Amino acid sequence: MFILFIAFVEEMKTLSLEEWISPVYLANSFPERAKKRFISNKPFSHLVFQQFLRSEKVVALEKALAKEDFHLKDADLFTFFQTNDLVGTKNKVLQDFRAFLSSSAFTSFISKITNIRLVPQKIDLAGSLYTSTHHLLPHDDHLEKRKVAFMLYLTTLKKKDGGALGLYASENGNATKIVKRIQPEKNTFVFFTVSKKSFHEVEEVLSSKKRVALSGWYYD
Amino acid sequence: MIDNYYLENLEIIKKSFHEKKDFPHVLLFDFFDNQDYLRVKKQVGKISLKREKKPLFHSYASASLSLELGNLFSSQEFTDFVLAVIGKKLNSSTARIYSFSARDYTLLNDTYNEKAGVDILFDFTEEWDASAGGQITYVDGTGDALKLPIRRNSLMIVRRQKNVQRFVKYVNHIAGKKRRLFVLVSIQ
Repeated sequence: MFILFIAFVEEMKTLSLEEWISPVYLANSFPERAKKRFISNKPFSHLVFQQFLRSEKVVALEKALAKEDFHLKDADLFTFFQTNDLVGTKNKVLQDFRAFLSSSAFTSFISKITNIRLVPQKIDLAGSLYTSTHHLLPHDDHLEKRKVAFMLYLTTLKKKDGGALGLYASENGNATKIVKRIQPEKNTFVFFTVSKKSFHEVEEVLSSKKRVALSGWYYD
Repeated sequence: MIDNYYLENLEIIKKSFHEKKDFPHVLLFDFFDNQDYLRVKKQVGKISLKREKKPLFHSYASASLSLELGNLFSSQEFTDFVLAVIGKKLNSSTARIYSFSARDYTLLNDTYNEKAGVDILFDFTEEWDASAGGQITYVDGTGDALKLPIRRNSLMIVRRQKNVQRFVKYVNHIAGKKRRLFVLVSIQ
């Protein structure tokens, strides 16, 4: 009972969407309107929310993430730097952000838009950093129970800098070609349904600009 | 054609190949006499390569070996040398020439594991910046890896043991317009 009470208090601390999200996304009618766009977006369901968080939160997240340790990840599919899962972070700002993302209130917000039942308190979250030549080649993210992928960009890259999130059309379970590119823009929140056809890639960064993001997944 | 140094030191090469336990291999730089290499390289430039892209698997250009290249890699001198190094008879083999330029790659595939065998790689890549990627890399699933250097006129012989798979690392924009060019003879 005591543990439940503590969990309730923790949840209350992060329950307020107003504390984190820009007011434009908090209108009562917003989730329903967003849901229509989410479902109809091609090549698979996704949405892009610009200026998503309150600006002071983005500044705080940027500073906090810069203090985390990043490790080089290098394999056939990718080269980039990544933090460990931030479930273990000691940084208060990142702990609060993680608590906000996994709160019942925000999970319900994403559930309403995606029309997918998601379990609160169950997310993965890590920071990533791509710079010149770094890339993540096409893949689908698909794992059992992994339902929605999300990313919050903390830096802006122009087209000439590369680093776009490329979404692939598919045919018979195979990625065919990129049909949509989302250029990273600071304080933009992007999310998409994870399925056997959610093929996507991070195109190579072509300049010395840093592509920094917080990203992870929701589960059912 | 083969540089005399290698013909005279065959036993050392053979020993070097077999004593490596995780990824048995040898790297033989300046393998052919330079004049012979330049002559063959000229022929390679005339081969018309076909681009192939399957985003989840690979992106590159490739072609069958021309008559001259085929003759070189199936010549008595060459096959005798390879047989002596690997110490067993070659069963079936496939041979192609590959070109990787910026944005090209191959990926490991969960659904297809290449059977154990021997790879014979001959490199025609000129003046390659190692930071441009394109390394032929062998992994065994334990975190260990063998990354082959990229250098013109090099012969590399690698035994792919069970569970060892090969990929070519993504070629990034540092490559500019340069091509990563090699012949791969894969023996089961």
